[in-house]
Amino acid sequence: MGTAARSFPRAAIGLRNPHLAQVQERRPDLSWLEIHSENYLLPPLAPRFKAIEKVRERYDLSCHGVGLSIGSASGLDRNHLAGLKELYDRLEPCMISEHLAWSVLDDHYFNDLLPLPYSSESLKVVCDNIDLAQEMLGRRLLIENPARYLILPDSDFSEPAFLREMVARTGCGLLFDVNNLFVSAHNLHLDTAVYLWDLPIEAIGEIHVAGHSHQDLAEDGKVVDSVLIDDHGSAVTQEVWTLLDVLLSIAGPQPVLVEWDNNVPPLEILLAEAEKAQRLIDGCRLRDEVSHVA
Amino acid sequence: MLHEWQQDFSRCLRDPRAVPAALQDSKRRFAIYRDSVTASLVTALGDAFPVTRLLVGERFFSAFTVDYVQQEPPRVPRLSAYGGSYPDYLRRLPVLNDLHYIAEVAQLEWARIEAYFTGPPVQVVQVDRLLGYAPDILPSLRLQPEPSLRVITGESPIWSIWTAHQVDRPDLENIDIGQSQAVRVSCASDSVVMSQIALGHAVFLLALIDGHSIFAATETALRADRGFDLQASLAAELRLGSFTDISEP
Repeated sequence: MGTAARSFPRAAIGLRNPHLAQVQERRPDLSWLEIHSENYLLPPLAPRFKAIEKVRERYDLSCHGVGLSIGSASGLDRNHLAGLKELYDRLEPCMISEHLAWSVLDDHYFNDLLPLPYSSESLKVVCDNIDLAQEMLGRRLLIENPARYLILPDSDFSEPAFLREMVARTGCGLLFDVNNLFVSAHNLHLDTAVYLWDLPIEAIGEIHVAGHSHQDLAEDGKVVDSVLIDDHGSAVTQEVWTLLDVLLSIAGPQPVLVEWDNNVPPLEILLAEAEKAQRLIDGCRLRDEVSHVA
Repeated sequence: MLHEWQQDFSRCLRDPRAVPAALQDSKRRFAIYRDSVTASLVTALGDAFPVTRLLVGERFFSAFTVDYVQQEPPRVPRLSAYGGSYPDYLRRLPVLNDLHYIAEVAQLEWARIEAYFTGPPVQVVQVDRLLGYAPDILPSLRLQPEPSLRVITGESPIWSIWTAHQVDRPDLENIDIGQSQAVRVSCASDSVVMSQIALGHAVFLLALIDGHSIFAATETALRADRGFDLQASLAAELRLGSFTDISEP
């Protein structure tokens, strides 16, 4: 595992295609960046791959997988896993991550992170898949908590209890997405304090923040339900910054990533969001140091 | 049991009217997932086929593409590999029967995507190597095309239409819609290179891509285009580094 993001936790941005050339030219003052692994499963000479290798010369990379489908009952696609291994061996990322979700079933790929019931059977499927992935990749995975819209029947565990069991059985870490917790808490009426109390905080290796939107669901022209959608299409809201501050005060300084995947803004706006995250990390480190002196 | 649950969930994602048995009370919440899957794939195809989208207009593009996404969902979790059958899908749409240039331009856009994600070859055949063969052997040689090389031939002016749409306000006034055009696409070191080529040159390259000898490819090219110039075409392709190997009969 690389060191830049871990030894001195810094805020970073998700590097998306519109900013690939700009980041190479402007070299923003960041120590690491996150990419979506599947965007770089390409031959080494493909222009986009060569560009990311150039970026890698200057920055540590966190590789965020969006297609391995850790929650698939039909198991993992070994070809896909082999592609990821080749990519990770080449880029030597400081962190690699996947989602507690499924997106592939029986040769169909749904370009979304679909929900899992938190049952004993799901736990076994997820842990078996994580074991296989960590073994084939030769690296520890961080698993991200999902944004949820549905209360699923047949769930025996709360989400933090499920994550705790998963971490204990597989040795994986957590990529904790604060926006996803905020969205799920609103949509499923969860208490964030109770949730964080149950969470295996010590397993967190990376934190995400992102923007969300509000959507009214109507029937016969009448609004009958109102949900938050984790669409990564706007600035991080004040409530999510506050929740991040709470999490950092419990977990201590952690690398924090700002995700903005749709309506991608100019690079400077994204960097300003990362600066806000950095101030919260620094504030938390300061509190840490003061409490040690005291 | 989880597998059956996921099968039911995924079947309902592909059917706009279905809701999983266990989620009958949450059909609007379930629709969030279905809408997200569909919308994200339509957006991805819009990014892959920008000129096609302009040609049919936003509303029709969206309608055609939602149907395509439901009929032919992606098989692998790499969006860069999704959309290869989209030009053929457009070709089969009865409503586009008289507008065949739309599917042809889509084919050109897909060739561009494929070339970009394939990347340039590691090494190519230099002209000296070809000149090293005895003249009587030359016609029987087969040239291995580099992997990113694509040739698209259209019954319509695909090159004129595509280039016109590379600026904000396309000028389509002087485009003769009855004209056939062929385009060569490949990946150079950092970008995709595209150029219009003569019909004979296109047929020659397509025959080489199909594995025919220089002689057989030349015959085919001359049948299609009496003006085909073997020496000029071959020299141009060697300069562009279009071949990775030569095989003797």
